[in-house]
Formats: sequence, C-alpha cells, structure tokens
Amino acid sequence: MNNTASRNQTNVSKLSRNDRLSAVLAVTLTFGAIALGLLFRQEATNQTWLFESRAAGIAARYPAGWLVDERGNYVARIRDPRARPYKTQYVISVVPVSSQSTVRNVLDSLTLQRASDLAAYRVLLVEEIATSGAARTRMRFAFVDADPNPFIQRLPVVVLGEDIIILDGNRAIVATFMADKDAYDTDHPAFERFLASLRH
Amino acid sequence: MFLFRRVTLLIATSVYWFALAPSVASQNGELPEITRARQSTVFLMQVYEQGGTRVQSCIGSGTLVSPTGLILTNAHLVEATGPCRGDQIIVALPVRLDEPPVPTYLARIVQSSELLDIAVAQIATGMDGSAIDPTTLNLPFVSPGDPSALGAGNTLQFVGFPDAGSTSAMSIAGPITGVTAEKSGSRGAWLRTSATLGGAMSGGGAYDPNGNLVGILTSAAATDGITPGPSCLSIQDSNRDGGINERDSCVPIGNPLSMIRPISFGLPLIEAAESGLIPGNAPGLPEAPLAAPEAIDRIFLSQQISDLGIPTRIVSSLPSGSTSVYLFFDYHNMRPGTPYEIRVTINGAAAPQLSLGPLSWGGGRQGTWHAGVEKTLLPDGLYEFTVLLSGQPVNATKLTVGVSAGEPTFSNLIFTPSAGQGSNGTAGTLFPAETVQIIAQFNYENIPQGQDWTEAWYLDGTEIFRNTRIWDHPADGLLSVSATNLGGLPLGNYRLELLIGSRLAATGDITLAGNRNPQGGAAVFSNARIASEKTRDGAPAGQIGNALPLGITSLYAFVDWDFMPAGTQWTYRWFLDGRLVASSVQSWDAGGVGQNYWMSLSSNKPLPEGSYAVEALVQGTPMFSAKVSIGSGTRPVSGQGSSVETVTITGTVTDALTGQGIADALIAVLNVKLTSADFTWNEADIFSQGISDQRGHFALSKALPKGNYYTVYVFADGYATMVEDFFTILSTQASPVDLTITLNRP
Repeated sequence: MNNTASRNQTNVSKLSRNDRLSAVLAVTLTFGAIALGLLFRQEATNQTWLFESRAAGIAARYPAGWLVDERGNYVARIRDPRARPYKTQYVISVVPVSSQSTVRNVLDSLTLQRASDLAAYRVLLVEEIATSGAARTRMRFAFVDADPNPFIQRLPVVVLGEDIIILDGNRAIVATFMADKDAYDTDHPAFERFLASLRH
Repeated sequence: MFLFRRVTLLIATSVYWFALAPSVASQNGELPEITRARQSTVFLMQVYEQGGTRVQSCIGSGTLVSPTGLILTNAHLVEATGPCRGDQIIVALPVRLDEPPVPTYLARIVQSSELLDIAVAQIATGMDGSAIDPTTLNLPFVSPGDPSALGAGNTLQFVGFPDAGSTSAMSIAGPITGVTAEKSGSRGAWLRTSATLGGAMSGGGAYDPNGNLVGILTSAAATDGITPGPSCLSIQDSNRDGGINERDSCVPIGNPLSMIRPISFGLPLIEAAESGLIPGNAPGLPEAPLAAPEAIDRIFLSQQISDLGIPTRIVSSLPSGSTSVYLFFDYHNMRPGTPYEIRVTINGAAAPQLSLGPLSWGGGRQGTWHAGVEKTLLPDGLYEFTVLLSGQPVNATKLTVGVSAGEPTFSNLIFTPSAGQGSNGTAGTLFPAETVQIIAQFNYENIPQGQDWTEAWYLDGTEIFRNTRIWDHPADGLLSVSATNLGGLPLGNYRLELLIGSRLAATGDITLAGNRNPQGGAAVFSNARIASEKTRDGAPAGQIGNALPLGITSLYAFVDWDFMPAGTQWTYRWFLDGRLVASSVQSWDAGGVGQNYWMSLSSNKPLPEGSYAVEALVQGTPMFSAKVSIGSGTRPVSGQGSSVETVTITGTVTDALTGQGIADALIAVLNVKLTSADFTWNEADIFSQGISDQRGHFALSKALPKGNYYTVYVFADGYATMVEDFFTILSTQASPVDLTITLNRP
C-alpha cells in the first residue's frame, strides 16, 4: 500500500513537459474541433441553391433543402419543409404595371386579393427602404393561417410577412417573405441574403 | 439518427394489417361502410342575416360525394324557396362521430334542379368567408352506386341527422317497399321505405350493402314556415327580444320521410359539378307576380299512363287484383318550394305506401301533374286520394277497388298529324305549328247505343270546340276525332276531353310549336351558332364558329326560335367529349318568336380542351344540336389516378423516444415511381402531402393510386429527415390506410 502511494506521488510529481504539451494540445484540438464544427455548421446553414426562371428572367439563391413550387399564380414559392409551425417561405411574383401605375396600385392589388384569401389579413406598415443600393417599397403584413380540414387539429398560426416591391420596366417584381411570428426575426436574415442575390 | 428498417417495418406493418382486415368493424362494432357513410354525411343550415345575427331558415342533411367538398342534397334545403329564405349555406361536419356536427364551412350551389329537388353544393369558404382551395380539403366521401336493380325487398341503410343537429348522424336500416312514379322522374321517380326516418334526414343518403350511395332521402316540411309546431321548430331567438317564443322564426323540419330519389337522377348534376362548368341561359320575359292563390283542379284517376304521358284509361273503379293506378291533376299559380303531398286512405285508414310526400314543389307555375304506382297489388276497398298544399287539403277524388269491370270506357288515346303536307304521321304530343289536322284516336268499350258522349277541344285553356253526340257505333272498337283548320292550326297548348255522359272518360294534351322540319316533326330552333362571348344586348361576339382557341372561359350557343308557346317544357344539355357536364330543365319564357336566345357554359378559368356539344329538347323531343371544339378538340390524358382505385392515407408522426406526436411535420409523397435519387426538390415532383397537427395526426391531400410504389419524405424541425423509397400500395389494398411514422432526433 505504501509503495503504491509513493509511486503515485512520484508519478504526479514527475509530469513531464511532453505531458503538459499533450494536455494543452488536447484542449486546443478540442476547441479547434468545436470551432471547425461551428464553421461547418455555419456553412451548412448558409448553403444555398440557385433558382432560375428563364421565362420570367429572374434568378436568386435560396437556402439549400427548401422546396420550390412553380405551379401557382407566382414565379416561384420556395418554402422550408422543416419549419414549424408555419413553413417559412419566399414567394416571387410578377405584377404587370403601366406608365400610369404606381407602387401604391401594386400594394392595393395585393391587399385586395389577400383580404379575401387570407384570414384576419392586416397591413402593418408601408415604407420606403434601400436594399442593394436601390430604393424599394416594403409592406409588412400579418394574417392567420388555419388548416381548412376540420379533422386535422392544427392550431391557427399568426404569420408575419413582408413584400419588397421592385419596379422593373412594365412589371413589378414582388418578393415576399412569410414566417411564423416567433420565427420571423430569426429567419429574416436569410431572406435578406436571398433578396441580395435576386437578379432580374 | 433515423432507423430505416424500423420505420419501414412500422409502415409495412400498418399497411399489412389494414390489407388483411379491411372489414374489421370500427368503433362500437359498426361496419366500416356505415362509418364512412356517417363520416360523409353533413348537417346543412340555410341562414339569413337579420339585425347582424345569422338566423336559421332551414335545416337538413347532405352527403359528401367528393373529397373536394361537393355535397349532394335536396334543392329545397339550399335554394331560397318556400319557407327556406336563406342567403348562406352553412356546412357542419361530423368531426367526431359521437358528437354533434361542427359548423365549419360556407357552401355555394353549383348545380340545382327544382323539378327533381336535387342540388349539388360546393364548400367554398370558411365560416369567416376566407377562401378555401377545394383541392386541399381531402374530406371523407362516398361513391355513387347503381340503383337500377333495387326494388321491393332490398334492404338499405339510411344515413342522416335525425333532428336539429343536436346529435350525430344516424344510420337506420330499412326495406324498400315499392316504387312510385311521378312526372318529375317518370316511372322510377321514387323508391319507398317503411323505415321510420326523421324529417331532418332529408338530403341524407340511402346506401346499398356495399356502402355505395344509391338514393337521396327526401321530405319537405308540410308547414308554412311561420307557425311553430312539430314541423317548425322554435330553436332560436331570431328577433333578439331575450326569449324564444311564437314571435321568433321557426325552422321547418321535414315530415317523417319514406321517399328516396334514386341516385341516377343526381348523377348528371354531380358530373356537371365535378367539371366545374356552370350552365346559363338568356333571361326570360318578366313574369307577372303571382297574385291568385295556388289551386289544384281537374283531378282524376287513370289505370295507367302511356309512354307519352297520356292517361290510358280514366277510372272511378277497378277490379280486384289491379296493380296500378295514377292520379292526375291540373295546377295553377304554384310557387316553387310549396310543400305538396298526396295522401291516400283505404277505407279511411292511412295507406302510406301509396301516399306521396310531402315534397317541395318544382313543377312550375301551371300545368298537369301525375303520380302513381305500378306492380303494386291494390287491396279491395274505397280509396280516397287527397292533394294537400302546405299541409292543407285542396282537392280529392275517390276510387273503388273490387268492382267488376264493365262500365263504358274510352282508352289508349293517341294523337297523330294527318298524312300529307310533309307530315310523318307519327304519334306524339308535339307537332309543328300550322299543322292542318290533328287526329285523336282511341279505343272504346261497353258503350251502349244511345249513350250521349262529348268531344271538347281547348287551346291554351280556352274551349274552342265542343260537340255532344249520341252513340251510334258498336259497343267496342276504335274511333277517331280531329281538330282541323285548313289554314293551319295556330300554335299553342291543346287539350282534348272526351266525356261519356258528364263523366270525363279520356283526355290528352298536345303542343303545336315550331316550324316543320324535313322529317315532318316540329322545329322550334334554327340558325344555331356558337361564340365565345356575347354583347351586352345578347348578340354573339368574340370568336364565332365550331373551332375555338384555348383560353376562352365561356361558350354561348345562340339560336333563333319560332312558334314556341309560353310555358312549354324544354331542356338544354352540354357535353364534353361525350360526357354530360350541364343540364337544365325549364319552362319557356322568352316569347313566341325571336332571335339570339343563348345557352351558355362557363367556368371561372379557361374551359378544358376538348370537343363540346350542346343540344336542346322540347317536351323530350330533340330540337337541335351543335358541336364545337376548343383547342385541338382532344382532351389531354388526365393525371395519374384519374380512373384507377385509390387509397386515402392518414396517420400519426411520433417521436421515437417519447412516443409523443410531432406537430407540423411535413409528409410528402413523390410522384409514382419517382425515387429519392430523382427528386429535384421541386414541388412538381410531389404528388400528395400533408402537415401533422398538434397530436401528430395528418391526412394526405390526395389519395394514392393503388398498384404503385412511392417515395415518402417526412420533414420536421429538430428531427432527422425520413426518406423511404419503394413505399408500396398494393392493388388489393383497402382504403383508408392509417400509418404510424416515427422520427428520431439527429
């Protein structure tokens, strides 16, 4: 017993420089791996795919793994299949304008249609902003999304949304972002990157 | 980390279980077919706005006949007629079968026939008026069956809501006890049952043993809709005075019913509703408001009815063993929706199997009506047939069965035009205007010499000729009388009455209308042409011709018309690629002669590509037809699953560790035979999808065609994405299928 204790004492007191270097290296590697993992995660999170519509002459980069739908009354609807409780989505649509049209006309047509299609639709804010070095109009809105199937008990969800109106000759490009109110702020930066990548 | 095999096993096990046990009884031992019928039965409320409050005006049942929310019901329950004066239709669904239905949607009428008392409504919005995409509904529904083989002795299941929506849909078994004929639907107009069915079940369904819908339960309330009572329930404070009493509007509830309209009458309306195509026609001349009261007169009985609708032998007695009898009567100033009933007693006792209604009137303002039974043994006795309107008797007649035959009779009256002048000499009830002579031929029996008899002709209700003679023919034989005008008989509705003594012995109605066509028959319509638009004053516009381009949303068929008497019953129909898509039966109200009468077929989106045809009939006689093609004239081959059997998929998504349901998971099934390697992350690759609710429950938006394999993706935030290739639906798989999908955290 006494010999073991003395051997242990001897071992502790005899930590070599290599041992200390190993410990430091292990800690460094650990933090490095964590940092690398975070970096990879960041890259994975920011990984994007290209959407391109030659018919509309519009392209943009959207988050990888999202679903694209081009069959509706829009150029594309791109949504996150994993998002809960509302599938965060971007919608690109094109509205014809004339020389006498104003942005206000575009916003009014959106509001008139949504007021009949979306429950409890409200316009929250209309303002001029600058994005990608250009002056654009932003309209913020809210509505309640409810599953029409009464056999499925999904609670109604409050959805916040934002339209960015881009006048482009004889048309207006409307880039719309919609997300559950609790995910809106978190998901908004990705929409800003999407908007920055928009080419027309 | 997701477990492929475990999930696959769970899915396979669930599918296997349901494949082996499709007939396992569901809750409380109820057969699955009955459960599905109850799930597909909705409670309908017609409401109107009063002082900011929705007030119910009528209630009843309906049946979902498509997953997209088409509802088959009675027209009187959804149209604003009679006691039902609502402007909105509320649909309450049996969300849970052991609870009362839940008001969930508003619906709009897409097809309706007052004559048949059948309507098809489409779920259109939520209760708040927000639009609904019908393709996302995926509601339970039933399929039509074939009622042609049904007859006395068959047992059916009757499903509907028995009261004012305070209980769940009920299923009651009962036998078919007979068939009743009526002018609205000819010989097979109604099936009869002796089952005790509550009046609010009207609009519900009758099902064969396979769970197929074979009939529509029908009963109108025999009430004025104002007076509270058993047929008009006081269930709401409509005037908001703080109490429910006689000053409040009552809600009519149909009388206990025994009438079932065979589904075959509703199929054209369902098909037309499924096509999304809406018929229309030019407005008629303004009708004078009805001031005179409703009236029933000239009521009599006939042993049978000819194929042309003419009573074959007017009787006041029948011998023992007789098996058919028809009641005829004239009606005047009738309002649509008025409850009408034929009540029959034998020796003073009610004979419900010979009675009819109460039903909602849909036969127009005036004319001649008939109802009767065939192949039904009539017991000996004294019969009384009473016609009631709004629950009040208005006319009656009697019949004695068990009397030996032998009284003088005229029978088998037919009308033919005289030969020559291009006439085809064919018997009928519709002849061209200016026909010189109409010959009425009939059999006579047991006429004694010296008997006085009378021939009387009427034109549009006014007597134009009467002649009383003494019989100087043999006792039995064949005789003719005629109406003649060498300058041509004027157009209009004619009636012939033959009396033996003072007793009506034979009668028949004919119509002279239109010009003479090359075949010798009547030609009311001419100059048919089809256009894609019309001007404000109703003239053809847009593209005109028989080959029109894609993108148009309406077709207008224009015709000119000659010699068309007001009130003449006529029908127009539209066909797409040979399939009936719209039909309308009306009384002519556009005047005797004119140009540019139009019949339309419209949609709120471009009409499908294909070959269209339109035809019009007057009193069942074809008058014209025209064809037009849109695009290439060939309908594109419809998408997968259009004509094959499908399986409805529901299920639950749960956490592998906790077993709790996962909310808002997206379940996506790719197109047939598309694997994960082929998936382009474009929603065009997705055939059907669903999102789970708070409990993890989901229902796919579209049923999956059998005999295929699919790739399934399940996404949920915080969980590893599940991908399953080769998820197989066997061709023998029963529907619905309930899956359990388990997800693991990454």
